[in-house]
Amino acid sequence: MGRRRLNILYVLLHLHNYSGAAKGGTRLMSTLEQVKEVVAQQLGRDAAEFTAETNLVEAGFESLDVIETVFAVEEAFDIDINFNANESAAQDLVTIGDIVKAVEAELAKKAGK
Amino acid sequence: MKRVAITGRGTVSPAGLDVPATWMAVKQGLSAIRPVHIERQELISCPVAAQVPGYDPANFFTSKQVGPLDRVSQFAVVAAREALDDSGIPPDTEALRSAATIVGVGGGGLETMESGYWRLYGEKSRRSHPFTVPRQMCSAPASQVSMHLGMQGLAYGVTSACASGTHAIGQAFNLVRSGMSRVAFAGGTEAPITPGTVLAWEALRVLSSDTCRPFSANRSGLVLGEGAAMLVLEEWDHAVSRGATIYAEVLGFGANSDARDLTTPDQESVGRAMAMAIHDASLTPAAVGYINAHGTGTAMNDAVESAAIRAVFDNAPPPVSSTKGVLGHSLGATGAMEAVLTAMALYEQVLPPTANCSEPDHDLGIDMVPEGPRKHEFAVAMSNSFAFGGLNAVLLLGRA
Repeated sequence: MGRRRLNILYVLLHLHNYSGAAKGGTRLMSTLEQVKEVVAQQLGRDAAEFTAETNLVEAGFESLDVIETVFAVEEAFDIDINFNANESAAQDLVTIGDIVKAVEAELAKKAGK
Repeated sequence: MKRVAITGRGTVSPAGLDVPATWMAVKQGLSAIRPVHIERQELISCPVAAQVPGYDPANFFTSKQVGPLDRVSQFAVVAAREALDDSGIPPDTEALRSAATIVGVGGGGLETMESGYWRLYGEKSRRSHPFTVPRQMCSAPASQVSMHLGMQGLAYGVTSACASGTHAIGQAFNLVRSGMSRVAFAGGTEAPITPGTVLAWEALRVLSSDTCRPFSANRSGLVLGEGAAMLVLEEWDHAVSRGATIYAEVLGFGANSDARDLTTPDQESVGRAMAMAIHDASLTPAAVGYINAHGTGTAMNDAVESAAIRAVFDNAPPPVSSTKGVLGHSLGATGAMEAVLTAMALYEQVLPPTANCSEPDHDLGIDMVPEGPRKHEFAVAMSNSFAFGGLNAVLLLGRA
């Protein structure tokens, strides 16, 4: 478990470097690629196995994994995603592409500020 | 096997500092959920909690006594004193001296831990307060209750997250039933309304931002609460021989583990815990006339608990209500609080309503008593607790 946490932290730092570069104008890694990296680390699998259509539960997600992904992308992109497990909107985060959409919506809001 | 009587009750709750105030609010469905007020509040975004109002430690403890007491232990001692007083067991008796003390707690001395770490990391202090360890340990409430009341029998803390209080009472029930203890003080306590703990719950994405509405289609999640509840469990003949008021009888206890998911309860396993409690009491489901639900107000609990109840009771369950719309979710204390409330429901033959259930979700297939207190003739009641980590505990109480 400790090792997995360290791995996720490593990914976060790694993504941060990419986002830093993106601010400079060169987008080295798409949001989709970054979200795939986060999910891959959580599941201990290779990001290349995933697409935007990958269903998170089918990929092996259990109860706490979605909120861990949300936490990880919030940290990586410095955004807040409105996600409450009791609201029907919670059912919207089903695939990797859904996470990407949520991240991009928040990034757009941030850019608009 | 001995029969086990409930002869004393004590509570400190968001609805008041004793059993009469707590029961009055719960019976009337008057919610004690309010805007949250804590130190360093700017760190959290959750705007509501069920906090104990008007509580001043100086009204209950000398300054020397309060030093080693985290809020979690203070609540337990105050509730235990009320339970002792209510039981009528005289302080200087062998019955009290030999009594057992079992107190459930989910997080322990959270305020002590948090303020200790704040000193260390926030204020860069080089020293920790010498009472940090004795205040924060999970067994502190059990130790403090036994010390303050002079009880020298078996004593320990029980921890199983949101089922701690129920497990504690189940353990005490077995002690008295087996003849190992004649009297046992059992209950639960929690004081989790600190910025760090609230923030940690926010991260689980299950907190409501307005109020707790169990079994209601407009549910929005759980609301954190705090407090303590203690019961005096006593060997039946001993209680009768000294002329004690018997509020209810403990009939059965069922407990198990899902052994599956950390936060998603397993419907079959939860149902098995209920069936175990009924079997332990040598009864059938038809005997149960009321269920005090775990009823946290989350989408997950509403769906799983109601489905499990329907299955155990063959699609004809007795009325079910949740008291968390009034008192919030006091984690390690909540099971004991609900055991006290279930005993009161039996004693007065009235069902407390599910407060805030403004849009009863009829798809759940249960009668959640949304309209208000209901007169009801019943002999047996069930109290459910299902904890994170899949730890289930169910009590069966009977009319005395």
